Amino acid sequence: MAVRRVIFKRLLEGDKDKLRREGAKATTGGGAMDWRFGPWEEFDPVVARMIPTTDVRASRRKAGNAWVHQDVDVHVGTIRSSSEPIFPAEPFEFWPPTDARPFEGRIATPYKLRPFRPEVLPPAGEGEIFAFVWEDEKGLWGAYVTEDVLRDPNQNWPPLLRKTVLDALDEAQTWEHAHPKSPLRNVRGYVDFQTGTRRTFVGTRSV
Amino acid sequence: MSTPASPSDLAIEVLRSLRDNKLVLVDGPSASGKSYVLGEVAHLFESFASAVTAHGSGAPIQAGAPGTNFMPSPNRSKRKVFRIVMNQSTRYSQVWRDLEPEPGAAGTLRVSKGELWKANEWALQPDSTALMVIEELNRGPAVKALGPGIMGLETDKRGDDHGNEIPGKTFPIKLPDDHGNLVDTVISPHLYVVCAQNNADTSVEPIDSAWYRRFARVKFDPDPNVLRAHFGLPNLSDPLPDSPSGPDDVFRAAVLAWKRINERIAIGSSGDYLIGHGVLIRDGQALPTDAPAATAYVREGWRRIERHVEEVFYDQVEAVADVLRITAVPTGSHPYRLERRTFADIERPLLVRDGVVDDDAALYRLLKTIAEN
Repeated sequence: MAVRRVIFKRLLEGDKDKLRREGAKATTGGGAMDWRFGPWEEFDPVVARMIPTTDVRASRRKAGNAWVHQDVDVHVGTIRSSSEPIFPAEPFEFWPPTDARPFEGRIATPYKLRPFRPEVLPPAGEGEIFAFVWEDEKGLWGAYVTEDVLRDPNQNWPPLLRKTVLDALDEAQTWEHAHPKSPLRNVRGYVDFQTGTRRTFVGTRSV
Repeated sequence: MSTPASPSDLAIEVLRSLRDNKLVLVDGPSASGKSYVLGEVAHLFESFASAVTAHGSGAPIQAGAPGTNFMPSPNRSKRKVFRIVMNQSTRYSQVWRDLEPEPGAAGTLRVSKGELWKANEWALQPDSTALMVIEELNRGPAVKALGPGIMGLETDKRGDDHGNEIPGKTFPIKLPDDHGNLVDTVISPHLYVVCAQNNADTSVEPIDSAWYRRFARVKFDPDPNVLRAHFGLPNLSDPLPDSPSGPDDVFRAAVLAWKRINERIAIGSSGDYLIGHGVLIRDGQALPTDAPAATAYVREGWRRIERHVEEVFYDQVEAVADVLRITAVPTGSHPYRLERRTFADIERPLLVRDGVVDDDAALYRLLKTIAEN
């Protein structure tokens, strides 16, 4: 099936924590366990093309000591695991930014999604881990991708996609090598195969 | 259709030419593989994706075969192929749009939806591209059926990526809308047209070189290497034995005889009248493993070759005798004979075949004689 567009995100320790803390946090609400993508004005058009259907969801935020409820438009679709395609598609939601973090859209509760269950998180020792979400003619798919598989010359990656992800990761790792005491850099981006466009963001930088 | 695991060189050449020129004419002698390759082109065009979802281990997104460098509109994912086979009664309304009788409603007309119009409508949609395949171009009234639309099809007269007119560049063609009102129709830059023709076909109407100049041309030639590969022959240069010791001897004799026939046709007539390698290929049939079965395999193809020679040199018996190399060898050493008979006090040549093609040993001797002379 022809892939139309892909968004990806490097999983930092905090992102992995959000998966592993499922047991302790599941009853406290999922907001803190989202995966975030920003700047939102860059991702929003791509997400809107990948998941054109929106639905109104109730959201709440804290204003002083009180909870304020509001309705927000959420991109809603379904997603499947590319490594377990026999399982049916599951609900998938991409939320707009919150007031507290107005620059980042977010994938809600990824630990609940089959392609991103903590049990299928690749083991340590295969380099960095990325979460990929992509759209083809059959819908949305998700998978974890390791740095080793991305760098493996025997893997038949589309050159545009491999280069986009690895260029951003290389820049992040170069910076991290030079600043070993600093936190790892957040790497995320997208590739649109239909238009040939791609954008990546490392830390707060667009590259 | 079944297509090779990797695209053939000719399919790549046609696709690359379509990418660069949008309007391509494939021409060559009969049985030179035009339709086969266009089938492959259509399959590659329609199934192409620059990236595909892959299930299982490894990269979950993989490069779409066969690559992006020669594919027209590689970033468009809604890909569709449309087809027409031209014939003497092909009309403008079947290609573009025009009034045509409404079936089942006497005296009522409707606006037709021709295949090329449908292909353009498809290509005008976002994220879409279309390939129009027109077979047997010169067996129909091509100039009339394509009409003034040929102007709009030229590469530099198309619309922009969204199907809008580019001022000073786009040449919209006038076509009726659903209500019969003439409206400007912009041709999408993502519409590709490939036509095939056999230059030896007799045109219904003349097609001039000025009309043809709009097409990039890809020439198909009879190719002995296709037959060598098809029959699994290590080479074509080994001498032919007096009698075949296995299927390879029969196949090599047939290929060399076919090649020799084409060499003589090119001299006696023209390159347009050669006969392609496809004449000796029986698609879908397993290759025989012994000499008698191999002889049976090539027999039908050989009959077609001889019929083709008779047609090219109609009523020219001595020319046929030359092509079949009867007059190139001493009398009595060729399985066929050229005799002289008298009719109405006029001496006339007569080619005597005596059932040679039906006899395994005689057919092999015929092929060997032609191949070596």
